Amino acid sequence: MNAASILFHDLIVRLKRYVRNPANIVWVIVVPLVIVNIVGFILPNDDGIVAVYVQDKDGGLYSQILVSVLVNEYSATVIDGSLDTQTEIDEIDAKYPGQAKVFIIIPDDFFQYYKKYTTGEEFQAQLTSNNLSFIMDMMKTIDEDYNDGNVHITIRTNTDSSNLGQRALKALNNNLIKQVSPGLTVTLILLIVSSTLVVVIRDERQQRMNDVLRNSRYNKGIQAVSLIIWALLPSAIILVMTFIAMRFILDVSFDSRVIVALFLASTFTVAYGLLVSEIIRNGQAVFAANTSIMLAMLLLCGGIFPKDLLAQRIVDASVYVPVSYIIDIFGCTMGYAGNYDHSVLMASVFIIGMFAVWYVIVKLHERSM
Amino acid sequence: MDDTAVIISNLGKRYRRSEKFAFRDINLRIPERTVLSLLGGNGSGKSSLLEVISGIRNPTSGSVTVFGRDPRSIRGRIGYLPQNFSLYNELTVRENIRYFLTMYGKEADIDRIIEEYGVGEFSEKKYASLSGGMKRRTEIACILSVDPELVVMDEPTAGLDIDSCKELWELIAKLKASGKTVIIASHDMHDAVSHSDMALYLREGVQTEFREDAP
Repeated sequence: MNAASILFHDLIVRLKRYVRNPANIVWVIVVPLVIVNIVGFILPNDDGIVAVYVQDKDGGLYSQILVSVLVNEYSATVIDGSLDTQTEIDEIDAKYPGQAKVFIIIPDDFFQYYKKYTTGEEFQAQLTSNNLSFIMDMMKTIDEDYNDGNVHITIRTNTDSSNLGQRALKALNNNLIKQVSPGLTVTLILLIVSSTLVVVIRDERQQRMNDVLRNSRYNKGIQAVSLIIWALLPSAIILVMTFIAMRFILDVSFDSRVIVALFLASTFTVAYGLLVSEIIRNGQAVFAANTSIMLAMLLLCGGIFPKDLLAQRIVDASVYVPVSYIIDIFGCTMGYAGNYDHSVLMASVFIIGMFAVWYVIVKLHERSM
Repeated sequence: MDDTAVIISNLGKRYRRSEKFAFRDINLRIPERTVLSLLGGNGSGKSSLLEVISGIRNPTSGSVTVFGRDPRSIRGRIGYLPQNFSLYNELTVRENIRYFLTMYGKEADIDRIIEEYGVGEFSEKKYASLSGGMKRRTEIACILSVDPELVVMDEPTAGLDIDSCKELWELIAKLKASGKTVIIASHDMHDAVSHSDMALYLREGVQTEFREDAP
């Protein structure tokens, strides 16, 4: 029996053990879903964060319904003056600096246009269910359809807030300070994932099975590979569940690079989990250390407070904090600004570095046994 | 060496960050097909000595050879049962035995093993649901399923009732009869000495007495 075959069998046994323990399933599937949804649904009601301005140039039945929904459900402000030109929008925008805004201009022939994209029943249904995302998408399509160089609908925010999910995320991320930072969502995700990983790895280390099997063909190399592959699974499941909740329940749109973000975030947490649990071996201490180290990294890298509010020294230091690049990648994937390519490179360097440090520590530890 | 299973020369072990030796200056020769009892109080160094003999830990001083070789280099020939050992709770007894066989790259008739080591009654039960005695029997079955030539057991009778202890000593006698060498650490001096060919007494890591043909 070769090493690959032993590795395969070991992974099958791990999988069996995992699925037979319902607590594991709850932890990796239910917890992320619940947390993301709780924060996603509660915080969007904080309408002060993304201000909605609407000008109704149509005045017809459907445009009035739309305006009333925007006013009642999203605290939209109805603009009486003209918003016909970019300059006029800029003037309004300038009155409220630093606040994300959405300007919606309902064109005077809205009735003609909206019929092209939806039926009256569907329109009513979407409005009744408060689907702002649907409304925004339709308005944007109408705007593109005009193609006459005039502004019919414009969304002016620091970032794209064209749908409710994005808006929810921004609200979530801005609940501490009314500025855009990719922090709290990713903070929660990384804390959940890294805590799970540390628990998985700690459990592994507490087993004396590895001692017993040391004289078998299940050598240290196979053990290490098996552990890395195995540790990737719960972190990947949690991240996938989180993204599923965002995409299909909160209606957040991602670009295709989300796969890269998932892969890098998973490998980052595995490398990080291995490193932390190798340095600190006591069960509870490892859990506490994880929370402290991860929170410190998130604070330093602008994950919780926006970088532009941090002292320059901290911003400079964040270059050396590995989690900075993971957060940047998440931010880019979810529509925030950032240097994606640079982040991927730096995240990869840090992840490989963490694995290398882990390997060196393991080797040193083995020699001292 | 001809019929020598284990040779220990001036063996010592001191852990990192510890001023004291766990054990030191141990000298011993254990012939094949012998049962050796390792006796001593808590903290006397029994478990550490067993771990070094099994190749789990490196010695700080001296040397140990098992069947003429470094114990770390003879995969599959040493079966080691730690004191606080636990199999996988979520797997059944049968699955745990199969896992051991796979990890050692060995093929064997699992039904025969189950029958031979008396775990047939509960072979389809999950390890977590077993009583203490059943668990210990299952662990021993797993260790012995891979047919090791040297069996090292750290306090195998701990937590067992009288009947289970008796069964265990009978099993050890069978192992010896089948040509295996057995080293057992135990608190139970009377039983251990009466069932052993040799006995080594440790006190605070120092060899205080060694008796051959102990009974």
